[in-house]
Amino acid sequence: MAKLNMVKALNLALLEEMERDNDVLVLGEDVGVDGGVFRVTDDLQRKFGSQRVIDSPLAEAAIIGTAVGMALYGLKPVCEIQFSGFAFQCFHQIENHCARYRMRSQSRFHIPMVIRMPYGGGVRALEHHSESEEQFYAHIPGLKMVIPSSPRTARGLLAAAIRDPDPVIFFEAKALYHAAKEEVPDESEALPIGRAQIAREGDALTLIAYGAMLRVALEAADILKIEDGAHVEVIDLLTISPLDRDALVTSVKKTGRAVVVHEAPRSFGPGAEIAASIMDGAFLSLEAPIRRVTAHDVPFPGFAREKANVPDLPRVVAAVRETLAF
Amino acid sequence: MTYRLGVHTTADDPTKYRAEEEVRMWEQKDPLTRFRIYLEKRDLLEAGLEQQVDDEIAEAVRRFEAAPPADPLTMFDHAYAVPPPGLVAQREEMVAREHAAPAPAPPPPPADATPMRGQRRTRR
Repeated sequence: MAKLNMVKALNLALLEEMERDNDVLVLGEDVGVDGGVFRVTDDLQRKFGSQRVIDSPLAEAAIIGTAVGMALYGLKPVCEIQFSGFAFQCFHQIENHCARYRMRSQSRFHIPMVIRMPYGGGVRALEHHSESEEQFYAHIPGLKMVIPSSPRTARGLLAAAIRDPDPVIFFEAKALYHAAKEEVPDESEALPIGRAQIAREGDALTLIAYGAMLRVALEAADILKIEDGAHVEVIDLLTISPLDRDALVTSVKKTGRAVVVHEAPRSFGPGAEIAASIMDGAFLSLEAPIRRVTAHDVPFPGFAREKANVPDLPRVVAAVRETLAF
Repeated sequence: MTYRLGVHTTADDPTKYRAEEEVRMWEQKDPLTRFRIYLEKRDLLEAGLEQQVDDEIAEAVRRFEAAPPADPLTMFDHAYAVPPPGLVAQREEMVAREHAAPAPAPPPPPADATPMRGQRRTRR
């Protein structure tokens, strides 16, 4: 077992999938010679050549449009968009084409491609470099929306995304790239898309998080255990869409309470869909309203105020305490 | 460069926003019209060919209109390779609704469909 950070774990998944399947290729801005803005594609062009690790022009629409064409002809492109805030240049290609070819062609064609994008705050960056926009992609039928929370889940879910026959949007929390190292198995592993994991078992309340917010949720669970004697169950969503409703409902039937944490703005965010799904499946078990701890409904305010916008430990702990006391 | 000679949709009335002279000017340049003139000049246009093409189109329209109504449930088959559980549940909801009250049959198409407003028949 090797101990890797998330950048190295993602690089390993790309390497393994490119070795396994000659149809897998990588394209994006500076992914080749430079190895990607965060070095996730480091050394891949040297190993696989510039036909399989393609430096694109600075044109997001061209990256995704080209990749859709490649996928139609049987290749499996893994695109890198340097920051998720740049992806609106290619949103048309994603929503109007990438997500729709299966339906449009009545399954004669499908789009086996992955779009990787760094997302989220916590790195004191400027505008367009800190937002959390998973809700846009989770809302589009035909796409899957995946957000790993650690090196091992990043490696396992990227492998699964590349092997998936349908297009997968793959968000990587910038705050996690170098945050921690984790043991990853020697053998290549693919984790199931659409399946949440219980990160911590408990019976007092279900705390739901994903991506960089998982760490905040786990720290909150630690504090609540020590200070309040409350055993909080933490669910790591891992896939935003399709949502693992069974995991959420099963947990809330046990705990009777739920709090959702995400970096995206609150209104119309994943927390709303999660809360509605729990209401659908576990209404009679609920002892308290479902709370959401999220960024505020403001355009991402820039690094001087980002700590006040992105959920932090005190806000999560306070929301859990209020929900427990309800 | 292309120019749309006909209407955009059945709700469109192009006479409101473009001059008749403009349309007539572009009609002169219609490659279909010009190609027919070219073939006629060189005596290359087979007798009965246009009628044959019209018949083929009419037959295709008849076939399309005779097709049974689309099965709404097939929409669930082409969103993902394997429909996720939430989508399967939505499909089951539709099955239950269809079973409870079968959808009324759509009205039959009019026997003699007229061209859409503003639509131009190809000049012969």
